[in-house]
Amino acid sequence: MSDRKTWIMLMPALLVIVAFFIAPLVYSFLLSLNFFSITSNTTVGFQAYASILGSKSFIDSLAFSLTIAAVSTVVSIAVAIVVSMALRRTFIGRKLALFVYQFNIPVPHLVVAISVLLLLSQTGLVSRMLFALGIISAPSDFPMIVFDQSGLGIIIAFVLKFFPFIGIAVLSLLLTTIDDYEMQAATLGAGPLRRFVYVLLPMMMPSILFSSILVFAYAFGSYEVPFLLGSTYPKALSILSYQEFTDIDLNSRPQALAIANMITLVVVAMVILAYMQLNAMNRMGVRKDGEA
Amino acid sequence: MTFMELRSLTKRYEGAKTECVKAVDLKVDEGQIVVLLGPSGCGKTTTMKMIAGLIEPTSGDVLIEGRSVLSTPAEKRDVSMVFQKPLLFPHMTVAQNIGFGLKMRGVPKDVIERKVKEMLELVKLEGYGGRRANQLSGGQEQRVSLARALIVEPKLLLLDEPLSALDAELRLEMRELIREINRRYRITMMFVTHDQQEAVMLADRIALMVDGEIVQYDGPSAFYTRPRTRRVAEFFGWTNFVPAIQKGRTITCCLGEFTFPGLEEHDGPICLTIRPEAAVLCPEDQGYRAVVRKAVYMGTRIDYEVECLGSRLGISLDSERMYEKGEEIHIKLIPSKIWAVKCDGKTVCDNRVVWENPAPFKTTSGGAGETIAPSVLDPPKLPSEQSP
Amino acid sequence: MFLYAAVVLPVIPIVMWSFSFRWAYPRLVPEWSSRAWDYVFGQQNIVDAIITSIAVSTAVTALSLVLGYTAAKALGTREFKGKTAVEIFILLPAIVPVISAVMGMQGIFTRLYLTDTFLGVVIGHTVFTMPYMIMGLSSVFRNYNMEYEQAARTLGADRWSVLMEVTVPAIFPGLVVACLFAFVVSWSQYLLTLMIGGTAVETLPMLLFALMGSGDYAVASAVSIVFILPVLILLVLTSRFLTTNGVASGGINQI
Repeated sequence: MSDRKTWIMLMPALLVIVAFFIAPLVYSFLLSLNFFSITSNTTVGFQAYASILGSKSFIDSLAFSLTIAAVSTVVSIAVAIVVSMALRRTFIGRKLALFVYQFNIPVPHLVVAISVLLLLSQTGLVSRMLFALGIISAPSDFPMIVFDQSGLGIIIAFVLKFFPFIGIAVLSLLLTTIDDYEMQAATLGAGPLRRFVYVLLPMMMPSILFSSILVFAYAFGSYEVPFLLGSTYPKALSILSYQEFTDIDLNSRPQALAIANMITLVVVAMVILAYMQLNAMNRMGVRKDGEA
Repeated sequence: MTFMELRSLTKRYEGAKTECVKAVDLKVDEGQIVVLLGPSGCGKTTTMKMIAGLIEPTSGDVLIEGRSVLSTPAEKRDVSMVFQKPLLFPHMTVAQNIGFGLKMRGVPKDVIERKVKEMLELVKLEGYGGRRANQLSGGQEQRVSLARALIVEPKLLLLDEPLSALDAELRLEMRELIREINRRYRITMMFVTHDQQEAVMLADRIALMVDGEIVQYDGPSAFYTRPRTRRVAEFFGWTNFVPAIQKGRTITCCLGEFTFPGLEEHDGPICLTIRPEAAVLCPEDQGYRAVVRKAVYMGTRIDYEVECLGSRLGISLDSERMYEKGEEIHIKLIPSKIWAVKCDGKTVCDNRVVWENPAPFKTTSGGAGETIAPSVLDPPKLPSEQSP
Repeated sequence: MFLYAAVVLPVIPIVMWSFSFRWAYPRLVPEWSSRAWDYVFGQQNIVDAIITSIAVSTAVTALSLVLGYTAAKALGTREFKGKTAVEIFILLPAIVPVISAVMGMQGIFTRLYLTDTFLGVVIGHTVFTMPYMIMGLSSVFRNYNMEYEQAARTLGADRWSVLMEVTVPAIFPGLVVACLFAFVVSWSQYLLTLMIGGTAVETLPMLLFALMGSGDYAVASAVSIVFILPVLILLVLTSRFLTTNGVASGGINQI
């Protein structure tokens, strides 16, 4: 079993990714530098970056997207842990609960966003129910959850999608490997709280970290959800980028690409950081595949 | 002095048809090693976990030093457990693992450090404190696991097949270590295993468990001399089960009449059981005449299947000479290696030979030469073979 | 309780809307009607979008299976230097948002005359479904004993027979799940289809977006329900194939 054969087996997949994923990333970097300028009155360089970094709308959008992604991720982790812990013990109807738990994982974000809109907008179902109960007397009495500037509706949609994704990974760990370790900790005198802090949480961390990266990156770059549920200002970065790209003025294209590249930069930086962290955990022995 | 007691301890898992542990009664004396022995899936681990407080019993009680501990959660029972897998916390060093129990009890750091060092010495892992679990071998991991359970000075140490994943040599070493710890610290231990060799080497007493019930609770040697039922006998290497009738203290079967010291009075069907090493060669004018049907060379010994008075017996002889199939030999049975056991409902006459061509054949037994025709239905009445 | 609320509540308004004729604000229940559903099955562009979506996603699944199969096998059954790096590299398209790459992709695809074509959309989707396909399949291969294949070879099976008679049956459940996952990832793609396919390739999510823009929530809801049907099939299948592993969706998270 030679290394050469291994690489030949990997080749088709790697080629596709290099040709149609890495190349576009490089190409868009070059475009953002005005390398293949469509109009000829510009020079190659980092002007686009300077221009976006100097614009208030970009900074606001960056802060908005980062906040949305961070809050959705943290809330999803918390909910995932609570729900998974609750589902550990056997009870009647657990099978159904497990099925329901997974339900949202493959549901498209677009549909979840539509649901949140129809449920929580000022004329949504919840608002109607409160009206029927006489708690509110007009749609405007209902708090602005969707289309609000803080992005609450976006966060709710993301959390609905993300918590099962993180949670199922956590739950499968809890039900298999971690369970024995918890019993061991109990016989050594650790009460429920201490078991959670000293054993369960550290053992869940690598898995949580891994799914959190995916979740954070998605929330940070998502287009559909903030498009449907976001307010007009601040816009999510992806929307800002797309709008600049489709602007009639072709000169704003480098800016659009610069924004997209900033998204890439943030995500790649995150991946590298997380990779280093996971590696450190590996060295600590969280995963045992390195055993001789 | 009884240290721990199980009173009709029962567990039935949700949705299970039968109980996994059936009304187990057991008393464990202080400072002893009691081995819970049994085939896999017989309920040993469940019993242990109920004692540790990890599984709630369906009914029954667990008493430690005379007090019921059912309402005490696992972490407050002062019962440590070593599992089959070492389960070293992967995010901690060896020293942190060993010190875990003390940390949970709020012991000051310097005391923990000192005790961890002692423990590392005890399990012969000095200098390994800074390592991670994945830098240890399987045997080392299990020793760390043992040290981690011992450091809290538990009243009772439960060991759930802790050696089953180790190779033979390491297992021997670990058994000695466990005995040494038991003798030195007088910790009461309960050890689960499915390996009878291991049980005999470690135990002060063995509780043999089959299908959720304890079928015999005795010192190790009793299982080799006085098994109570056929199942127990089978587990401890008794191979031949000859159907017999007991009347008073006398047992009658196709091999003759027998009586043993210590045999309880009983009337009815019973199984005469003979260890393979019970048979020894003897001169032609003594003992039974037997015909070799199968011979398997085993190195120092040879296993034979012989026909003897209408019974098929599995015996094991010294390998000085190998007898061929069809050859005739003369054997005597050593009385201390014969015993009578209850049949456990298995009364099938699996030792009876079905003759293809029933023909009378000559046999010498008990020194009196006579010709008998063994019948399939009626075992011949023979003069008493031996009654020491 | 929270769990059921989180999953069931969002479904309610979609179902209610899909059967409504009009649903003016303060009313708690809509004026029931099958208008939206009649529209969904009667309107040519909706039926077309369903067909286009199925065609695109099926082609994408097949293409990513063919291109990713050997890589998945290598990652699942072999140890080699730089394996972790390769794994992360292959995962990149699943982590890095579509928006990051899509503009560069459009540029390159334009030069290759792939924009506004079915093929272009399929290739674009394939890039983003590959990580799911490869990771899904490689986790299946991780539990697969290569010696079965070796045994089959010694019994005189050629490579093709080994693949069809031994490998595929052995990994079949995992294969189906990985394919369905790739299918659903492609099925949900919006931005990419928009940028590469333009108006030439109109899939369901694009139609749904347009419907949401027009404010016809009744039809949009009905289309949403059609849109999540393959997802339901995936769920039922995964829970059937994977319950033997303890937690039904252990496999989902391998991806």
